[in-house]
Amino acid sequence: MTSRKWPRRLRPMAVRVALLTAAVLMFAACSDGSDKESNPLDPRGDVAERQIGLLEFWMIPAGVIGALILGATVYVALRFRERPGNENPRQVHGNTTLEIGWTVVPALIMAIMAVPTVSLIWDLDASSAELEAKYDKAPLEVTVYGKQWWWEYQYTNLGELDSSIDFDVNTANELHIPADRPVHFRLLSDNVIHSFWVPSLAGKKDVVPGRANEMWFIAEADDIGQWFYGQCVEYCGLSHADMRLKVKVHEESDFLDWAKGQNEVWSAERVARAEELGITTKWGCVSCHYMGGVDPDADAGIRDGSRANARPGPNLTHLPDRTTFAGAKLDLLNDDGSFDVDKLTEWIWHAGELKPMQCDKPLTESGERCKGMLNFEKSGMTEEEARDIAEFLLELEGAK
Amino acid sequence: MTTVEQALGAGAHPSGVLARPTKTTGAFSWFTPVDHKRSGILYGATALVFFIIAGLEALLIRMQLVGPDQTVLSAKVYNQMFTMHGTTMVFLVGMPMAVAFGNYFLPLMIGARDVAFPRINMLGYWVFLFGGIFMYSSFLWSSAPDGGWFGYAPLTSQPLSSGSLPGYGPDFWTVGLIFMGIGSVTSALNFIVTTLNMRAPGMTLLKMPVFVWMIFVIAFLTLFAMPPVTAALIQVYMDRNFGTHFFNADLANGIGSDPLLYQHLFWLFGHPEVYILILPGMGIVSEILPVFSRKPLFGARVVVFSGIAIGFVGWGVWAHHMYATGLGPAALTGVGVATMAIGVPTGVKIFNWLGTVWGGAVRLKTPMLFSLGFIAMFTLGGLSGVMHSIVPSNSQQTDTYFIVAHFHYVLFGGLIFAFFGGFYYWWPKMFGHFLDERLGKINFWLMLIGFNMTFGPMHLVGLRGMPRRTYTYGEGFGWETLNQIETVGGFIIALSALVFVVNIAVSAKKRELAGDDPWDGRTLEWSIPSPPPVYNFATIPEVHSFDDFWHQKYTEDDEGRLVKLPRGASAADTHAEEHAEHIHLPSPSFWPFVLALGLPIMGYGFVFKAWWVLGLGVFVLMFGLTAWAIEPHTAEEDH
Repeated sequence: MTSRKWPRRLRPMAVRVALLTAAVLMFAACSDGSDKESNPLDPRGDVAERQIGLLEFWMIPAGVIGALILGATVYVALRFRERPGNENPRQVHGNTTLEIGWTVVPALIMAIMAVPTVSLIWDLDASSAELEAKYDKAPLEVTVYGKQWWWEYQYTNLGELDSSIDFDVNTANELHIPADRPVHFRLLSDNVIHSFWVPSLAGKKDVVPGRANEMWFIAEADDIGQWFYGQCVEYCGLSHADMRLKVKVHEESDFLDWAKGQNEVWSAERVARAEELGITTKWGCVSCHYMGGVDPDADAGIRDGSRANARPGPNLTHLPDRTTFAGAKLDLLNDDGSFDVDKLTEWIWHAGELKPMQCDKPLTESGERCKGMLNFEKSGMTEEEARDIAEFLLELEGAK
Repeated sequence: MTTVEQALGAGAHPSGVLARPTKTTGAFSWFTPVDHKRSGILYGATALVFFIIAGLEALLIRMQLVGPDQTVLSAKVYNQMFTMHGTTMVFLVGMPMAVAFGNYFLPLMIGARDVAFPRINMLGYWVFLFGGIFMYSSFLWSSAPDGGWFGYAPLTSQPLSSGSLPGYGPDFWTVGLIFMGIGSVTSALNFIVTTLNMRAPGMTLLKMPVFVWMIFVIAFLTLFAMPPVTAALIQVYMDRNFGTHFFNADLANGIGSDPLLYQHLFWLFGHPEVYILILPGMGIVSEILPVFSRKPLFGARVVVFSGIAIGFVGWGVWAHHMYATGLGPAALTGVGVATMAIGVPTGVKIFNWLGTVWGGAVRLKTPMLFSLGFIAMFTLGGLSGVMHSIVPSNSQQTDTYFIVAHFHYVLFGGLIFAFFGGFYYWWPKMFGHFLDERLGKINFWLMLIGFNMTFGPMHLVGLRGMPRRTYTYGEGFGWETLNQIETVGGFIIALSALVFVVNIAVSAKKRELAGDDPWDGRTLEWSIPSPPPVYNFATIPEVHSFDDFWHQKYTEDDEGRLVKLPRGASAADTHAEEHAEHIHLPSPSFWPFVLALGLPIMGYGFVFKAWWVLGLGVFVLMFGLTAWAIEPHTAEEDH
């Protein structure tokens, strides 16, 4: 932990202290023990900080009230225990003053709480135009598609950040964003309800079929280079737990470089090799995954946004740029930074053994009931073939 | 019996097996009872069995979550477990256990000899039992429901061909819940009419015990809450099986729909449901605290009115389950403020309970311990509940383990603690002997410790971002230690439940007789023998005040101190056995059982779309219904 994090760390500590006084003394010894940034109690950026700030505000009266009532419960039980002489206590049927008092006081506390709550509800509900006015720059627009069980992102207004960019970028699971610029999301789904959540940056918002929910957050320059973790938080079926995501914060120029790189497609040579490996033919990978360069129509559709969310599987054109795969569940990299070819091989060969897949059956039996990767081992693929495909997708073949 | 035979004709001659049952004792008579006390025991015992099943499911969940990337359960089985745990606890434990206490004690507490509709009451029980068995039979087809206890569309409503939830899980779930709703509504109607029509002379509404009031309130909540969810469940079933588009959008073909409609309908039931679950617990505690403090319930009317207020406001906060769904700031403001408002009457109750104990003569018997535990744990659940009204910060907590912690503090620390308090309190009345006090204390302390170890850390792990309903989690998020504590706590709760089961057996063997009024009680059930005779009251009591039985025993001096009245000065129950022969009671009947049996048969027809099975079920149901309709209310007596 670097020293610059201290001031931020102090605020969640305040929440924790209040919590402990409320009830959970036994956790005093439990350290956080996390090495992944995914903690709402450690908020980064405006949105998450203001949201959790209200929680801290409430922890003070809640802690006091909780301590008083718990204390009173123990006190009355012990202080008024039956003993010789007090078997016949005075019969009190009620006390109007007291009862009015303990109706009005909580009502007042609630009324006080309501003020910042309601004002923040309205404040955080900001359209793109309002965000632009507030931060004096256009927000980055990202459309998020909830899939079963991964995330697809389509960047739709990169031109407003850099006029030389006249194309959309399409990627999966790992979201790249510039620091100090609000990011405004449209959340869409054509299947079931999901919920998009990056705890460090903002509270969640559901991704509901037939609706276009919106949300936004902003990352700070302090967090450039940082990965934030998130995941789907609305139960969306079998592999809900494995529908994860990561967010990387960049300096804006680096972000734009990354975006430009995402526009490149496979060379004719590479497409030919893909055909040799059966990616575009025998194994039918391309029917579920977009791969830039294979189909010029699809490439154009990705660039202008009309073919976003067109395939059930993620875009594989720039797989080596990612750090994870399988809905950000599995690491693509070994500890030393090299690619984990073995794991990707295993994934291609029989994905259902690494992440629950509803369609763990051979290609020939795949029908409309399928969700997720097929079982290519059962489809007749050899482990060697799977490894060749893995190496090809990771662009390792040249090095061999 | 002749009427039935004539009406049904020779083809469906019900002679022999279906002759009107007359026995009211013996094993077989448990299939035909109409006595509300027997029905109460059946409800309670069945709910206890489901409690143990749901507990085992919870233990499996805890084993899976003891560390990151565990493989105790597969994702599919895990999803089935959390779905069935929630469904079971709400529909097969919480509601029926409240009905069990209500069935047994509501008539006793209002001085009635029976409930208004004894046979309809039994129909409710059989529907609940068969509904539970029906839903659990889904495991035989490896098709246990796996869409969550909330069963959100379109996950549950998409057709089988979409592959969203393969198997028959959502079908068993929707059909099972629709049937159980029938059972809930029948028992609600029975409670309402019984309370309104069968109170002893002199018992005005405000002289009714608080427990009776709470059952009365939840009966109305049940009556109004079941229709919206039943409609939603039928729509889910239709969407899934017959291609309707209530919740399934098919935008490619220009067919719109709104999945959020399901959530509105579900939570319009689901939030009152929370109060349907907790109010009986509040009622039980409101009975126990005065008895073990030897003081009247502080501000009894306020406790009743705040219960009614909760019942009303409870209809206005359903959408606080939907903060993240994109309702817009205006709706969020309204629901957030309403959620804050409902904290006030809830807080009032807590203060009144403490005021009851304050200055009393407290006997820390097991029922009292559970009631005090209820106050403390429910308070914590209430405080975290108020946090849900803070909409912006709630967007960080909703769908995390913080919510799991919150509602277990309310429903386990609240409701289940109250149930256990109720068991220890009323067991002597129901069975004539005490539950063992030493085991009872062990039961309580193990439960208190285990409960806090299990659900306390969930607050923190949820605030740290651990999502609900996930069969696994990765390492490095700071969740591991807390999950380990939770799992250990879960097993301590299981141990506590085991102690209770052992206590039942040990106490039955020991048979430490309790007598009519072991706790120096306040309400009418303590004025009659333990266990009560089948007719309850030999002479219907005449009620003069709130806590009438207490005022027959005690009066107050000028300073308000208790003064014991000399025994016999009151118009005490005479237990006149000779009266009993002339008390008219409803006769046992098969037909509720037969009618209810038709429902699960129909259910299999619906699930598997096997129409001849459905027809068979309809036939059984109609047979039971017709025979019931023409069966005389009471058997012709032999003179």
